[in-house]
Amino acid sequence: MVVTGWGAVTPLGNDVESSFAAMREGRSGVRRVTRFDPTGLFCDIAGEVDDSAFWPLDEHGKQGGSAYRLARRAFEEATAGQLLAGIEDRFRIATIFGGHGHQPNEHEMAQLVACLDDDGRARADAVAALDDYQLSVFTRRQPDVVAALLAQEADARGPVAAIVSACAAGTQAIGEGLRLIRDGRADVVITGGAEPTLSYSGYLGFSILGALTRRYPAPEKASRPFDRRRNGFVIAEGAGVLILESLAHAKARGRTPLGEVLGYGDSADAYLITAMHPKGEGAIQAMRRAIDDAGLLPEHVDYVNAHGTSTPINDPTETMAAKAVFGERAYQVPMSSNKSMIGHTIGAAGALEAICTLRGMQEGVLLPTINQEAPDRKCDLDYVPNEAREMAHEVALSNSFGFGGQNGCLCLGSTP
Amino acid sequence: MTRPVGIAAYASRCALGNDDQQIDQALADGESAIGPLRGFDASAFGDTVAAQIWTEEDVDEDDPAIRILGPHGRILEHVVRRAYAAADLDQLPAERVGLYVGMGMVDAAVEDLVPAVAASRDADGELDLAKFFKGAYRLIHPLWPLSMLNNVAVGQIATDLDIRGDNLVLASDAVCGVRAILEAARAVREGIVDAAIAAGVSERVCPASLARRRVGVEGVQPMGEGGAALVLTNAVDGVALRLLGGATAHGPRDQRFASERAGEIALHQAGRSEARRLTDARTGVGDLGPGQAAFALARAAHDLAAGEVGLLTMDYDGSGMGPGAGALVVERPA
Repeated sequence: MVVTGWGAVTPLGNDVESSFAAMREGRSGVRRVTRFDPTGLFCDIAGEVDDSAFWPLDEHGKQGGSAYRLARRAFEEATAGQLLAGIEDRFRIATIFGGHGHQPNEHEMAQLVACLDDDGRARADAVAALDDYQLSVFTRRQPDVVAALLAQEADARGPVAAIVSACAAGTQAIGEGLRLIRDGRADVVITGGAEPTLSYSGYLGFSILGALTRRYPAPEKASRPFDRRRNGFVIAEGAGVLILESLAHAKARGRTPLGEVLGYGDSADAYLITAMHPKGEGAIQAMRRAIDDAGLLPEHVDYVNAHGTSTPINDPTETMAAKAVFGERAYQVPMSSNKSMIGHTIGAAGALEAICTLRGMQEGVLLPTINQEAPDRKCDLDYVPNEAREMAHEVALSNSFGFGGQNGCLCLGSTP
Repeated sequence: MTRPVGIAAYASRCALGNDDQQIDQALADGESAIGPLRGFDASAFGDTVAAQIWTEEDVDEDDPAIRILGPHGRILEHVVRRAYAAADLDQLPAERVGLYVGMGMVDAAVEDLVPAVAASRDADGELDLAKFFKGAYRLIHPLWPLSMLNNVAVGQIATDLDIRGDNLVLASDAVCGVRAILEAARAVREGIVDAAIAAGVSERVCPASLARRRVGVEGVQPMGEGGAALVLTNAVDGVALRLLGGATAHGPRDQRFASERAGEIALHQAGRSEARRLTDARTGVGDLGPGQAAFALARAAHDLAAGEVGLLTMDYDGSGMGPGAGALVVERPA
C-alpha cells in the first residue's frame, strides 16, 4: 500500500516541504499564543499555524469550521496535480479522517453559560430563545464534518468515517484506511487528521487537566521529549492529509509512490485514561502488531518516530516499550520526536508524523529531537539529539498513544 | 475463504427498558417510549417530548464514574458489560478482545463552567472574559475537559473490563454505530482479535441537543422545520461478535434467538450517491434511498436472497451532512 499524495499544515509551515525543511534545521514552531489572550493560564504557549494566507472558506466550507479550514489546506496540497482526477469509479474512494471537530470558542461558551441559572441548572427558556445557534455551529462541532466535507470536495463517494481517539486518531485513521484497501472495499483512501486545538475551550481544557508544560525558559525550549527537564507537552494545531492506494492501482494510473504503509497495529492500555500503562504494555502490543502486520521482524526496523510528548510519564514508558520490542538492539535504533519542534497536534499528530517519517526516508535523513540538554537515566536511547542525521533507512515505526488509552502504530517503508 | 462471524450475545437499553427482556416485552405490548421531557424545564420548547432513558443511577452526580464516563458513557458501559459477560469474553486473553464504538455527539458539560463564570461577572452581571482568563477558570473541575473527548468513556470501559485489543471510536454521524459493527466483524474475521464488542450510543437529551434540533438554514432543515420531524432519543446497544463456530448461547432467551444470532453478518455502507448509482442501474424501478441501497449492496456482497435474511437493521444519517447509510444483515442459517 503506497502513499501517492500528502499535505501538511504545521506551526513551521503550511506545506510538507517548508515544514520538513524547518524541522531538518531543528527549528521550533512554539511561541506565545496569539489566537486569544492566555494571560493568567498555567501555560501561555502553543504551536500556532500561520493561517494568514489561507483562502477564506466559502459558506459551504464554513460548516466545517476551524478543523476543516486546516484540513482543507493540507488536502489541497495532497491532491495537487489533479491527483484524484481520472479515477472513474468515485465509489471506490473512501475518506477516513481523525480529529475531534471544533471546540466551543469564548462566544459560544458564554452563550451557553448564559442559559444556566446560578445553581447550574439549564434554563431551557434561554436556550430556546437563542437566535444564533445556527446550522454551522451544529455542524462544525461534529467530529465527522471534516471527513464529510473532504469527501464532498473530492467527489469521493465510498465509505466515510471519523475516528476520535485523541492523540491516536491520525494514526488509527491511516491504519483503518490501509485495512479498507486490503479488504477490497476501496481503491483509494483520503486519510489523515486535523485538530484546531487553539479554540479557547480546547486549550483551556488541556491546561486545566495539567497536561501542558508549566515551566519553560522560553517557548522554543518548552517541548523537550526525553530530556530530564521535560514537564508536560506543548499543544499545537495542524493537519496532515495522505492519499493511500495499492501499488498496482497507483502504477496503473501513472502515479509515483512517495512511500509505503507496510502495516498497522493498535491496542488499548486498559489501565488509566490519563496515563500510559506503567510497563507500556499497550504500546508494546501496538508496535509488535504493526511489525507483524507488515510481515517483518523487529530487526528489520531502522528508525522509530516516537510519540514523544515531553511528559514525565510518556517518554520513559515509550523508551521501555521500545526496549521490550527491540531488546538490546533498541540502543541501535534511533527514535526521535517531531513534537519537540511542532508541539502536539493531537488528532493530526499521527498523520503529520507519518508524513515526516516517509519524507525522511526519501531524503535519507532522521529528524532530530531538539532541546536535548539534560540526560534522563530512564531515557537512554538514541533520540537523534538536537541535529538531524543523515542515515539511509527503509523501515520505520510511527507511534501514537492516545489520551484515553488508545494506541496506534504504523510500520512505514521507503518507496517500493 | 470467508470466515463467518456470529453474534454471540447482545445487550441494549432504551427508554422502553433497561434490559433486553423489558424491551422485548414492551415492544410485544406495543408500548411507546415517548413521553414528556424530564431532567430540566423544557416548557419553553413547546410540547417537546423525547424517548429518554431515566434511572436514578444515571443522574447520580456523586458517582465518580459519571465525571469520567459522562451520562452517555455510563449507559454505554452498562450494555458493553452485559454483552461481554453473556458472551464469556472474560475467558479470552484480554489483548484478543476488541472494542468498537460509534458515539453520538458529545457535548462539553457547560454546567461545570458556572462557578467560574459566576466569579467572572462584571458590575452589570455580564461575563468579563479577562476575569475568567486570569483566575476564575481555576474554579472549573480539573476533569471537566474529559467531557469534550469522545474517546475517554470508551477508554474507561476498556479499563474497567480489561479489554486490551483493538479500540476504535467512531463519531458522530448516524451511521457510525453500524460502521462500528462492520469494523468489529472485519477484525474478528481477519483474526486481528478473537472476539469484539461493537456498540453504539446516542447523544444526550439535553438543552443543547434540543437547540441543535432546531438548526437549519434556508433549504436545509435536517431535523424538519423547528425540529418537528425528530423525536430525541437516547439509547445504547452492544453486540459481542465471535467466529461462528465460537458463538455461544446463554439461557432460555438466547435459545429463542439462537438461529438469528448464529447467522453471518453481512454489512455494507452506502451513501446517497451510491443509491443513485443503483437506481440508475435499475432504470424504471424508481429511486432507492441510501438505506435501501446499503441493504441491496450487503445482500449482493454476500449473495443473499431476501428469504435468507434473518434480521435487517439500517441507519441513515438524515442531517444532510453525514456520510449516508449503513445496513446490517444477519443471515438466516440453512
